[in-house]
Amino acid sequence: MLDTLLSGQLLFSVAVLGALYALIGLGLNLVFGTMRLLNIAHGDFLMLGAYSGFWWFTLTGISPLIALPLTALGGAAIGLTLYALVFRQQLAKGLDPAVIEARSLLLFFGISVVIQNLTAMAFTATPRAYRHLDTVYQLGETAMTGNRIATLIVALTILGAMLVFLNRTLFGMEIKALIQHREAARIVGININRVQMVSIAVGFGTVAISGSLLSMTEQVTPFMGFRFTIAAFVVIIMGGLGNILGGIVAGFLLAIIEIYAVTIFSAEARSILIYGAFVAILIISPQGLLGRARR
Amino acid sequence: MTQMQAKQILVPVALTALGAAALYGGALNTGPYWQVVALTLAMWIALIQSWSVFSGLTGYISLGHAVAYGLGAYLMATQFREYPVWVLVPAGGLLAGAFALIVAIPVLRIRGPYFVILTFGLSELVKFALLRLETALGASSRLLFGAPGTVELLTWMIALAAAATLLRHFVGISRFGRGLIAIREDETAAETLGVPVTRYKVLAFALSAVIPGMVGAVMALRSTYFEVLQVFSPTLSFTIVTMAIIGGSGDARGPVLGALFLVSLSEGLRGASPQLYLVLLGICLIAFVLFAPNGLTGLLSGRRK
Amino acid sequence: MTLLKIDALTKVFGGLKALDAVSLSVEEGEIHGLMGANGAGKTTLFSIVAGNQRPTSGSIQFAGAAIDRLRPDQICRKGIARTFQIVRPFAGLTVHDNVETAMLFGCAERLTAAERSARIEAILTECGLGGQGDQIAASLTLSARKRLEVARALGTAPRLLLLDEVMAGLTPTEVADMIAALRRVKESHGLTILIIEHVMSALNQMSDRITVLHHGQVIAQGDPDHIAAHPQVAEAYFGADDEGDEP
Repeated sequence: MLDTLLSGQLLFSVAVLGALYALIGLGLNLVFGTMRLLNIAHGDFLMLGAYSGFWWFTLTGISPLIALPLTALGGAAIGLTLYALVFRQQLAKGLDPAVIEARSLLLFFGISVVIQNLTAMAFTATPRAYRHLDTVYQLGETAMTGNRIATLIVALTILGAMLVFLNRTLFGMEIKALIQHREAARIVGININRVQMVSIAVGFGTVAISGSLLSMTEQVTPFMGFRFTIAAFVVIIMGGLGNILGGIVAGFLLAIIEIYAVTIFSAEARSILIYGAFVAILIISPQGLLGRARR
Repeated sequence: MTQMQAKQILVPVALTALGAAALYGGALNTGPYWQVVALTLAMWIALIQSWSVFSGLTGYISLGHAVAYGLGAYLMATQFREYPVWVLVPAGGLLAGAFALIVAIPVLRIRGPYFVILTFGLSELVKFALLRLETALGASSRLLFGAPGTVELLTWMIALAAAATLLRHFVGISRFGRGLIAIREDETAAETLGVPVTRYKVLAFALSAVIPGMVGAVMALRSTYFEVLQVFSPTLSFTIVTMAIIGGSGDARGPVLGALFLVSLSEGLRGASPQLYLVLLGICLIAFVLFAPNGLTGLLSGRRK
Repeated sequence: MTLLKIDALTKVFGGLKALDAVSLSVEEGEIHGLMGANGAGKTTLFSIVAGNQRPTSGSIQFAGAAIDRLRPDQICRKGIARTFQIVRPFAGLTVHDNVETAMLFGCAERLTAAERSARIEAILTECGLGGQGDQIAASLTLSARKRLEVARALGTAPRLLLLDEVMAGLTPTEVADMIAALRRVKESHGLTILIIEHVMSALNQMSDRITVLHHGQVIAQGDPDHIAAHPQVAEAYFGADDEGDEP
């Protein structure tokens, strides 16, 4: 048992899942951190990204990896549309953050149901899958398929790029400022509207990419998103709401817990574990275990 | 009896009784198809009114009422052969209430939207835990034979709908209800002004789970088989919240309006895919949250928040 | 008779000592002022007395009985009412219902509907809100909201009233009105008042005695003249020379 637990195989799985969770959590953290929007449709946008990966490959035969920028743009476009149509005026009203959180929750709930069922109507609920980059590479005892290696590399690259963006560019620092303290950011002259738009574009773009990557290795169904929404929330709460680096660490932590639990117990344990972690984390610390309490 | 008392007590009771009688009579005189529609209408009324006793008054929006429903259904499905229906229905309610009491203290410490997603997570957790239990017991779905017919179920359900409506109404005008409303407006101020907030929240939470538990027990008898995944459905919680928002949760009229709206919608979409119905429901939720947060009752009273 | 006795009260938040062995007593019928720069610990003190927070150590006695383990709603029914620095009205309810809710829950006495009605009318008039009973709290001006905050506290039939910066944000005329109103209600309700204020003139006018807090510690206690002449108070408030050198 210990051999299995420390095997390269498991570590590789943890790395891939961790990078994915970190990326998924990052998008949610940006949107929630800057605008206090509780996007419980987050996983459904991942699902849309997954479908776009599937259809792209099925219809053109070209690797979805090549289409990633397009997928990201598509995700960003949807995010910006939602922002322009719905959230912009809600945010501009200067409402109590608690009210914004509550309303956004309900709105995204509705959006989630609409997206899931529109997709089911368009594509049926039959699970879709395709085979791409599934050559197996052996590194010692560890067997790795090409698609998972690609997922890992792409996810890590984007995570790295995001960290650079947030810490080294002006835009990135404006985003961080907005996350820390909305009023102060406004006072120092940051264009809140523009920063919000960038956050939403990046947030939705990255989750769409995650979905596309995921489509290479998992079945795509209209209802696959739930599980990732929950995972994303566990990640951002564990890492501290709005704490980008914390979220990334938490993503890997969650992957470790999940994969090891499934290995030790069973595959069914996964759902119980994720929802159990979700409930436990909310009860113990809605402000985040690794993060500071935010204003 | 003063005029005020008449208005607050006699009129709602009379209206509820009339409504129940009308629904029952109408259903009996038409065919089995409309009996099912009446059953569904009564079910939703019972569920939303109960939900509103807690969430409508305190403002703590629960997305987890599917658990109460599911627990009642589970009890019925597993014990159907051992006990009569008239024992199991109330028992289902008590089980749901007890569960709510047990989780209330840790869960109600959390506020706002976090509470909402917590209830949702809890609901899913219970679902998967029970699924695991069922697998361990070797029962992936359970069959119920010899269940009562639609008319008997309808009787139960209308009684539950009437009970829930009166419960919502009387809690709403009671001192207890005033305390719950104060909690919604400002929990800290309420506590500082003498409202025993924790006790009230727990009580309202548990109370709001009882009737849904009974509803679940009754509905379990509708189909001949029982499956955990179907019964503990997030869609149920979603529908309750949507209808409460569409109908308005300020008083006992809203849930009735919401339920009527829903049943009309699903009748109107008869034959179309169930997904279209959900899409429209989602759009309605979005529209109402944005433009009419007080629901149909709010619109009818001419008030806007 | 000593109505409120606070003994060596300490409150530590993580690494920060918000209150450091604060001792203070309020005599029945007195108006006791509480002064100090922002962050001195005044509101924390109120929160602990009212039960919204627990002390780290120390004791609080009200009318001879210990209250530091009680919940806020229990403390309210014992006779302590508090207002909040940033007002917290029940925004969606009417002015009348705001006060009535307080009366229904904070008042240890059970009253009939008629008795409640009469009392609410009287309280609203005393607080300058007469005739505004049907207005929704959210639509009130700041000055009216502050008065509602006081009216609500009065609804709980308190013996001790904790006022947290009720004058903040008011114009000089409104301040004068508030002082007059507070004097009225003190007389008619037989109140003892512990009041936090930054508006110095108001505090000096109203208080029988004043306690000054600085960085969580009591640095002076006495009547207004004594305080005005106190060297440490001047230093804390206006800064000694060396403080001006700090970056």
